[in-house]
Amino acid sequence: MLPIDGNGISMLAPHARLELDPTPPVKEVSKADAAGGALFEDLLKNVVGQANDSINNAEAVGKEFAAGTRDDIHGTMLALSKADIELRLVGNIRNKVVDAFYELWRMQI
Amino acid sequence: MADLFASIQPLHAALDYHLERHSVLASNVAHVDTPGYKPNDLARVDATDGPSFEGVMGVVMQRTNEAHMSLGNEGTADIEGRTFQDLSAGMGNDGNYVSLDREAAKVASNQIRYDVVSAIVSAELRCMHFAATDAKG
Amino acid sequence: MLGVFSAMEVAASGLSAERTRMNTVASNLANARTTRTAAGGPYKRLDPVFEAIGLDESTGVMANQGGVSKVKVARIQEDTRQGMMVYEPGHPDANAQGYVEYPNVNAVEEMVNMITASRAYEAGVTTIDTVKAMSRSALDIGK
Repeated sequence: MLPIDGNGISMLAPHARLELDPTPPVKEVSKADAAGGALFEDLLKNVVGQANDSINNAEAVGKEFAAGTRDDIHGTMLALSKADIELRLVGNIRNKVVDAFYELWRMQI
Repeated sequence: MADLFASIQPLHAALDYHLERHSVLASNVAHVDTPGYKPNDLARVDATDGPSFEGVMGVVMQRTNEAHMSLGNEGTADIEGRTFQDLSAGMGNDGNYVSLDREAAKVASNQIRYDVVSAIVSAELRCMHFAATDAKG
Repeated sequence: MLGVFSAMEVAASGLSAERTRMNTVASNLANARTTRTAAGGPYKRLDPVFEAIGLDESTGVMANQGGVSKVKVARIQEDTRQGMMVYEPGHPDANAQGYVEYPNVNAVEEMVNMITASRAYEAGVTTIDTVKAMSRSALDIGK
């Protein structure tokens, strides 16, 4: 699901390209960035930002409907569903990243 | 913790409003044959009445002693103050202004709004529940 | 945006209009043999006249709302056609020539109007029910 960077490395498994020099995996990501791929950090920030925007929009839309200023039922429900899905996406991405980190952590020992 | 559910508060108020309005409309329907009866309707509590003390200071005023002045924020606005008469259906021969069709349409639309606000509350609480259960629920 | 609530308002206005028509039909049928009214002369049959008004009654039918309009009973028109003249010289309401003018109510015509009003009322109720069903299914979007 996450985009592959320019060197063909999945963002979830940067250890796949570890060479014998002792540089930690973070540097690998920087090298990938220099080759023109997306920084994982920025990617995550984007997704979280988008989810935050959707959630704020959904809350505002829900509040407007409750106040009676908005009549659009399906638009409101769609905005709420969108926010729900984006939140779940961000949450699960976070879980996967944390799991991957712990896997890495174990591997180093 | 109070701010976590700040978005639920106006939805809760809206649910209360729709429930009260249903009672008012039901009494109109019951009086469809009463001579001289004028149907009532319920106005929303205007949320744009200006910033409240609670909103600005981030605290809720409370009376610490019964001898102190009343705050005026006990409970929601009194239902009698917000009732107005809706005479747009025109008068019948016995002075009764109730139109059954209009009241039935109002009851239906009120119910739909109640259902939608209830679904909005469920959706928002579901999001919070997901986040609170460590993004696994 | 026109939503479910405007559709219900429009349908409800149709229901009210048809109910008025039913009232006039009932009045016509009940007074089919009334030869004397307070205004003098026999009963004249009544007809409701409908007109289209805008969703917001003060602004008229708006083109940007697709011409969607509510129904309003503009007035109740009296039908001034002459009724049936029957020769009944002993009748208290007979004129100088001995003819009594009966109301211009045709029972068959009134029955047709009544059935039309009843079907139109049912159609309006079906419209409202459908609108309710549509919004119920919109609520299922999130589930």
